[in-house]
Amino acid sequence: MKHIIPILTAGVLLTNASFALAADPEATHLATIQARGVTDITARTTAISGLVNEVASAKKLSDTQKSTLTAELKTESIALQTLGAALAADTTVATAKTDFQRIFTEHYIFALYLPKMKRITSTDSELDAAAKITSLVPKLEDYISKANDKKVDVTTMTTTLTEAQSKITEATTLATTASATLLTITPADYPANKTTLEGTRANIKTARADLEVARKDIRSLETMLKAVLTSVE
Amino acid sequence: MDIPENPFDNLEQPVVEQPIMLESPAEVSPHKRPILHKILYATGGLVVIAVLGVAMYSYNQQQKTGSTPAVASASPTTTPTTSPSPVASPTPSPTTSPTPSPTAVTGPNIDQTMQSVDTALSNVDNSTTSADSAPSDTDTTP
Repeated sequence: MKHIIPILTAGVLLTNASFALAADPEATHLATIQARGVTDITARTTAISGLVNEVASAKKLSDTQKSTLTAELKTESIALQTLGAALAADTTVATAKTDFQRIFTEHYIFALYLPKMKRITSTDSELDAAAKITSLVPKLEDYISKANDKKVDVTTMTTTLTEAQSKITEATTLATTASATLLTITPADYPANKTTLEGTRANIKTARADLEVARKDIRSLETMLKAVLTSVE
Repeated sequence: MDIPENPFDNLEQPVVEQPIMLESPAEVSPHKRPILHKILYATGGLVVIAVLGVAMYSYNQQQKTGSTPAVASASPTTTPTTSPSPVASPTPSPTTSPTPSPTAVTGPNIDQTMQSVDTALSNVDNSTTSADSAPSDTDTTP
């Protein structure tokens, strides 16, 4: 339904443009602006639909956080559709240009919302991965204990698990901090908050690297345990 | 006057049998030992072997269980007729020992969990790439 208005608008604009093409250069220009507006607005509303789905699929965001983010996105989507209708109704190049520029100056879908939501999704996946690895720790500790009972030298195993836990702790802290920062970023403060938005990238990148170390540690530990215990699964 | 011949002079001297000389046991050669002695020696040997066998069996049982045998742990007030069976003995038998098995470790499957971790990290990469490569919001008014 959300795409019906832009599509109908595009149809009307294209029809008007074809009639006015030969007669009035300004009318041709107006039609071009309106058509470009339809394209850009559709691209943004489509992106917003994808972001809404990603927020709904998030595993670590609270229901309240999901509701807030979804409401923000839907508000932007509705505002863009309203703007598209206004642009379609414009009768002069000047007003059409003004409305067209509002796509970029008032809504910041690609400049702010897309990076913000994608990074929130990144931190959500990082926290999900960290929780999954953490859930294995008690079991791995039991296996190491059993290996120790068999008089196996478990020094390397213990060191490996300790490193993994340390990396998971750091990654969790970084991802949590980044997520909290991203949730506070609003279009009202843009572009002043652009630096803050970009700053979260470093935390996400470091957390991702930490999780990679932890992932390799756990796989390595799994191999070590399977070499001395037949029941590891 | 002739002295009449003594009619007993021609009699042969009575044969006096030599008394049988009993030999001391030390002097008795093995082939002269009585069968009774052989039986006694053999029986004694069997008894010694049986005692040693029982002792070794008891020692082995103690090594296996690591505990005092059930019979020895029975209450001294218990009479033989009311002696508890090994199952009811207060000393746990080896078959009922609560030794944890190697499969007692519980928790999520390691491999499956790590595969889902791989998926989550792949999602991180995709989202981060999308965030960094977002289209421009620069005004492109025609």
